[in-house]
Amino acid sequence: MAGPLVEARDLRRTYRVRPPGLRGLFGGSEERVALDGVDLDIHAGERVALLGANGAGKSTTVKLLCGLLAPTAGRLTVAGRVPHTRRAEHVRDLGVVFGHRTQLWWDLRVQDGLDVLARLHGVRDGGAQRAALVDALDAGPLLERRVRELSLGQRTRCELVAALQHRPSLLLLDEPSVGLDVGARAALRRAVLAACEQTGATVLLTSHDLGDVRAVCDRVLVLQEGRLVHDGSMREVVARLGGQRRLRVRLAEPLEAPGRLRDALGPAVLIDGVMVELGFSGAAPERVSQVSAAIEAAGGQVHDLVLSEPDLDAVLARLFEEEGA
Amino acid sequence: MIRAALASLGLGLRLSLAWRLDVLTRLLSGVVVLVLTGTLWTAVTDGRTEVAGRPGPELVAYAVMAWVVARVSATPIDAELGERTRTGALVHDLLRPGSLILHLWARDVGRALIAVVTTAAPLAAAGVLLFGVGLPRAPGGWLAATLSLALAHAVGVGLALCVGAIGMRVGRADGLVHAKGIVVALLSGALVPLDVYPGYIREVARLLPFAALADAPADLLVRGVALESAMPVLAGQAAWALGLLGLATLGIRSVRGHAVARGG
Repeated sequence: MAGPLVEARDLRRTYRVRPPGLRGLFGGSEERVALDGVDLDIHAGERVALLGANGAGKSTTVKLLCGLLAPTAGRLTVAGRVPHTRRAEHVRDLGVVFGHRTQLWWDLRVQDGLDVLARLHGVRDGGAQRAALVDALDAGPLLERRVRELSLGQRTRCELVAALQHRPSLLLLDEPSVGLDVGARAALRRAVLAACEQTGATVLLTSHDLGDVRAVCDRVLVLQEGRLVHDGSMREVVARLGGQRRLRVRLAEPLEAPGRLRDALGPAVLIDGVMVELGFSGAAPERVSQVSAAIEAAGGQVHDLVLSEPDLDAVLARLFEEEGA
Repeated sequence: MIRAALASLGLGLRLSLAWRLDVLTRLLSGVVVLVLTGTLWTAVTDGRTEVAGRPGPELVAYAVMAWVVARVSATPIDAELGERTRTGALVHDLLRPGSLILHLWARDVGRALIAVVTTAAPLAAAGVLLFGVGLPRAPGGWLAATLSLALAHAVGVGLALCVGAIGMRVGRADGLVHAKGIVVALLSGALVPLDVYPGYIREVARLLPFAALADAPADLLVRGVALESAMPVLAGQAAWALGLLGLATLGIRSVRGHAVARGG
């Protein structure tokens, strides 16, 4: 298909909300804006993260993309379809995983639940696709077990198989890692990547876990109070908000003249015995060379160094604060 | 659509058999109520040739079979819809291709078929053995009773979907579901034969949809009414089924957005 898979133009969604108490009973409802004029293109094969604070409009966007809600104004198409007017056709081409909710049936074996879902989706040749997904997600040993017997991480892998076995062109992952421990989260990220590679599905991920975003997505959308305030790579978000990498250097022995190093690298450098630490923006190799040279010029010797990426949670928290202010 | 409906029916069959202890409990509790009902109405009719216009043995048979039929036509869809709305699980139901109502109906047909085999048939056999319930002898009688039972189930689904739609709108309809259970028990004939109510209550009860759930099929079963003679009753049940399912379709369509918009 030539155009974008997902295309939104001036997308707007409002809700009527009754205020609490007598005012709500007699005073009518108020309009609350959930999405306010969002323009958006997502192309086939992209893996896009949708970020935002609670109430930013993420869930509304997902529900609009599912065809569960209709826009109040504007236009939204997915693969050329208006989701809410061609819902049945649309959901056949859609895979969805909602964290801590299951589309499988608690009391059935995973295999039986997948069979039912395949039939409901009218999948005739789902066997090969499912087998490939089960293989990619290492879900084979889980198929004979009842859903209620699975851990959350195992269940989420099965949910991925369920969401992708009918070969959807768009996969919506709504907080898929919520409640998972560190190991299960890492396994889920690997599983999502493997599944995407296997199916070529376009992914839209909402998550408060930036590890998920960094591992899975190559593009980030940030919503704030219903408006799209950023659309680009994670690196661009970080650069825009001044998120800094940090370089920690362990010296072979404490510097004799730490003041010279401070003069060379600026007052922001932290020097504590054999530890030297500073934040920076820009290309890492150049900055590392500069710092190493400055340390040698100050009479020191580098024993070890560690380069860490910006704290994305802090960066995005700052973004939400700034936009909300 | 047929393929999806069959898949939903198969799902209902599987889910109904998932908990064998639950199946056994339903059977045992059904037997207890059946014995109490049969014994009570045997005592009431003892020594009287006729009660409320029915021969004594026929009234006992009606009471027993109405209880049996209600095991099939009573559906848990209403409580389930409210619960799934509250927990947000409803979103998965709405994201499946095809009609939500058709899916729920077909799935409950699966539950009802299991209920026929695991509960209703053994209970009917117990009714025959313990209380001498007479069942139709002619195939036409069985055909009329079977059609009536299927329509009773459709009315039950329609009624439950209407209550479920209210649950989807308000978020919690446990009280309404409970109230519906009481009304159905009292006005369907499942616990109290409609014949024994005073005249005007009986006439009004027979005009309400609840009578289509148990009274109509139980009456056809115990009287062994042939298909031709049963047509007015079947037509009444069909009208209620169509009306309630149509109302439920409109109701669920109108509250769907509200149910989806609620929560994160």
